[in-house]
Amino acid sequence: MDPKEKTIMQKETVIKDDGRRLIYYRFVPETALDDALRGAGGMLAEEG
Amino acid sequence: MSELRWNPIAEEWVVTATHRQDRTFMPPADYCPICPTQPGGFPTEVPATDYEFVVFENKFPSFHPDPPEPAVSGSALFPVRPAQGVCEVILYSPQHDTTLADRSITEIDRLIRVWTDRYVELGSRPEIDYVFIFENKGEAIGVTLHHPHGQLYAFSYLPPKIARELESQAKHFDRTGRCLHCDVLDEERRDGRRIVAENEHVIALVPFYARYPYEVHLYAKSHLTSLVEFSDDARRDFARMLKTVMRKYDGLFGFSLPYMMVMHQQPTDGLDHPGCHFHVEFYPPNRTATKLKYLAGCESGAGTFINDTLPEEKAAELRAIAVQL
Repeated sequence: MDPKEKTIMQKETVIKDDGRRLIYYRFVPETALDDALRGAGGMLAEEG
Repeated sequence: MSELRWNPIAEEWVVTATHRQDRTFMPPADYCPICPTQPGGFPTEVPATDYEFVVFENKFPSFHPDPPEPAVSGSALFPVRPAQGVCEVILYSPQHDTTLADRSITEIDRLIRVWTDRYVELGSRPEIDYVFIFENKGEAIGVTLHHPHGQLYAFSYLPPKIARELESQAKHFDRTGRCLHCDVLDEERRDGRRIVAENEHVIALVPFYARYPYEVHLYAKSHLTSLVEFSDDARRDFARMLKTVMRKYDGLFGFSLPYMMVMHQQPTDGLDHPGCHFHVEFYPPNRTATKLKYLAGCESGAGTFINDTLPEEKAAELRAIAVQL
């Protein structure tokens, strides 16, 4: 698989009014998460 | 309400689920209960304006995580027990007028990851012995909602068809030391006439013993027991093969072909089941564009299927349909 296509699966569970579970599944590109982490790291470095 | 009643003659549980009589039946497209909820619109099952995939517990379940006590008393001959389990609905797309065959290989690959997650999460519950993933598609199958979706039943026991398959596998394994499904695949590949399509990791074929004219089984070529064991590449090939088969089905008669799609894999009961081999079975009811295969007297009363066609010819017909992925 092309590394650019790799994604992380994210789950968000909510409980409906009648008590039933509902789960949202989202797929986020790994590269987007890497960029976000790098961005956060860069910001921290600047703040430091 | 809902309960399990034992049939001592067939040696199988029957589920009574009387509340399902009231479930939503063929709503108009603009009143679909599983579309995303639109601003100012009526609230659907999904309280969001968009989503990739959504899983939720069925509003009209046959099994319940915390089931009520049976409505009748059992006896030694007629045992009853609570219908414990989980019934989930898996939404494939926020778009109402689409099918799984229309989704990209990447989207189907992601759906397989959702299926895998549900298999792992529900299978880890001590009361769940079998996670059964399936899709009923089309009015001919009795589908009551057209929005593209599949289902999942997490059983607190091994359903009879699965139990029988496990027994055959175990007997073959005891006799030969080999996986029954791997041997079936070897024989099918040696013959070759019933193979519909294959790629590096997955093969699709009309089995030698097909009960429906266009029945197709998808197998992992290597001995994988469940979705969990798929590598990224094998899963991608599985997605590609699912789409290939569904596209071929849609190319048969010029309309989106109804089918039942079911997955057989390793039980989650913690016991050893030698010879388990992950596979998917498709049962389309059409035997021609306008004629359906019914489960009539012989099938329902004697348990013997009459297939009006030759699997070798139907496989050739499906093989000849070119598809765009």
